[in-house]
Amino acid sequence: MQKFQPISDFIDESSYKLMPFKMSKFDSDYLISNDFGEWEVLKSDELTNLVNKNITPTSKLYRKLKSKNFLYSGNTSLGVDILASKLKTKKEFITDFSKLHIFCMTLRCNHSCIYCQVSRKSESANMTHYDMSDEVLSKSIDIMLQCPSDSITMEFQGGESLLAIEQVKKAILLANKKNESLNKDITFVMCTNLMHVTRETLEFFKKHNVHISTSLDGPQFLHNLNRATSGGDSYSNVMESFRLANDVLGEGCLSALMTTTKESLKYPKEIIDEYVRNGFHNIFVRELNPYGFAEKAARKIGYSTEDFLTFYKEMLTYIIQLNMSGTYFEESFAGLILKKLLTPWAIGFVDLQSPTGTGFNVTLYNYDGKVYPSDESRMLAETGDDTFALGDVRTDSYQELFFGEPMQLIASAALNESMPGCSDCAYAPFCGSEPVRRHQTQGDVIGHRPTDSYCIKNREIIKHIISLWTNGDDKTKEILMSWIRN
Amino acid sequence: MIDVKVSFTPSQGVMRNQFVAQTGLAVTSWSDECIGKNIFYLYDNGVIDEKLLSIASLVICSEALNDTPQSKMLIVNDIDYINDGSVISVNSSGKLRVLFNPKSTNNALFVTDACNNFCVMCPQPPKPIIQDDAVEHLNDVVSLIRKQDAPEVLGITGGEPTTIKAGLINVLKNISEKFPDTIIQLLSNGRLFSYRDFALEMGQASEKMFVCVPLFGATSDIHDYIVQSKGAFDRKRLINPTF
Repeated sequence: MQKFQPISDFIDESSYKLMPFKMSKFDSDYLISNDFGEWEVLKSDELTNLVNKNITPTSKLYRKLKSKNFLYSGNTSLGVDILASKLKTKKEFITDFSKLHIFCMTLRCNHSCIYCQVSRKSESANMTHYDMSDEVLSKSIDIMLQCPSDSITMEFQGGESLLAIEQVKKAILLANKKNESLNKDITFVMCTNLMHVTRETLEFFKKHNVHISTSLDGPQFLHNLNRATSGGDSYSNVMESFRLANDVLGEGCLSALMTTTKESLKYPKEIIDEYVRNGFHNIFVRELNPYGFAEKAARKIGYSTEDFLTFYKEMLTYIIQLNMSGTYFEESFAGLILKKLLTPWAIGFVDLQSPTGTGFNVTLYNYDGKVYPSDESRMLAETGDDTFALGDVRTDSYQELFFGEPMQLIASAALNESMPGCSDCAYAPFCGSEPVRRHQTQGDVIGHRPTDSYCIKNREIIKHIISLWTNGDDKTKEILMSWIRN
Repeated sequence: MIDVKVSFTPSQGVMRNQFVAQTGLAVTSWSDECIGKNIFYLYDNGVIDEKLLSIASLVICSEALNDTPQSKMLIVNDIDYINDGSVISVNSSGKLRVLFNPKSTNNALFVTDACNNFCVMCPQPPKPIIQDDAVEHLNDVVSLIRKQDAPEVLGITGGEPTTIKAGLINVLKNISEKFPDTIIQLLSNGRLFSYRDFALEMGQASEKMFVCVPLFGATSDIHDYIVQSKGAFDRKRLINPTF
């Protein structure tokens, strides 16, 4: 009988080499991470031992760091293939260029939300001026279908897209027709406040498998405060539409976004309760974005990043409690961060990507024929800054739109791996790059991290989620894992 | 599962070693599927199918049949284990094995006892020899399975199936050709997949295969110790980029 070799025969030699990694302060500890999305929180002395190569090959820490590619031993030239595979998997979203195609069908809206003072026209404004024409629609669809991806999302927004519903219907039918020979997989999404939606329209959505993304900012008083409408009570209108939508399309047919204003900050639990009451199983807690509303409004509804972070953490705590007591509910932004932290996979969320999703994963076709690399760039243009206008579907070719100067400018600041303040930040692999936002808030596409609200917010949220995970009990971990979507 | 041993009593006066070792398809009635195959007549009462009886190389039954030579007759106590469509092997010393059962959702082809690992916990320690006729035998089993019994999933196990190398690719191609909708579950330690040519060929052999590879540790020392082979972990890690 052959004798087994003892485990000591298989242990690494005591000399190891370091792989490139980044480190950042994590309270009194350090977060270390690498470009393959692996991370670990180390005590200060553990980090010193790692760097000084004093960690013994039989320790748990050594094995953990080795399995996460922070160190290697012996002749593992083979490891490079594995690392390439990991990196390729993490960056998979970059293949096939733009996948999210936003069609801004009209600038008209029946709401005048306090966080959207600029980029809207009244419901009764001239349709021929502020709705997408047949010519623009047709040419925009042509550009969309020229993009290489076989699987695309065509998303309708406004203004209020329902005010241009006949044009939306035309768009869906036309896209399907033009797609007949190409056979791409098109997902339709309708972003709408749903006010006055008709049964007939909902039947059309059902027939063409159109997903609905709507808005709910919280309980009645808060929703109405944030989302003013000429009829007065937006909340009651929306509730009536929710009931009708559930009736026609079935329970669970809606997903909703909330926008946080200064007033919202006081009601984290009430907002969640409102979502639960309406049968939602998730919420996407959105910070007020810095685009497209007036300075005056900013003073009225704005708040500091710190205030938002406190609010966000309160919400997470409450949502975890809800799950603990048996109500399944998820926070979608945390779900995205968790997917980055805990899985090898890429995420499709364009605001957390490096290279940036702006322009590379999103294209926006405006009602007037202009093309933008994101909705934020469109809003920026509405305020008078058209730095990121890519061109016009009626006059510019695919090449002119997507290889012109604005795209070159975005590309120059697209990779956080090479950006000052990001390149050595351990949080960067879980964060993204937002050149347009930096141009808007910091004066150039590169920006200055210590004063960059995007950086401050994301770093703190990532840190908080890592803390929830590493300090969480089994039940908490189970809840957090359940928020990770495919 | 494969390898269900069915106890049987040779008909009176027949010595165990008088059976001809063979593999065949057990059926209860004649059909076109019998043409060109080694057929065992699975008889469990009722009217005799004379056509089937005339071509069958063995009769498997629960009670002796009149007028049938005893050397052609297997009297089986647990005939319920064998179904119409089962693929069965009989060896000369009197062992009967069910290699494929159409009523099971868990069929697997057993490739070899040989293995290039020596896992500390293995209940079936590897034998150093690979049967010369392994490929021929496996292809024989595949060819005996009736089209109508196309399995949803077919396992391939051992030993380490990849030790028969190109032979395995040959078998996989045969399975995919005959049963294009069948999902192949290959249980492998994955080491051979570190050879790029082999991995590529395996990838092309079937569009419906997934390889189940055990990993016993997150680092090489633990895994290599458990499988008793230095470098096994690194070779396994190479599966992903090439396959």
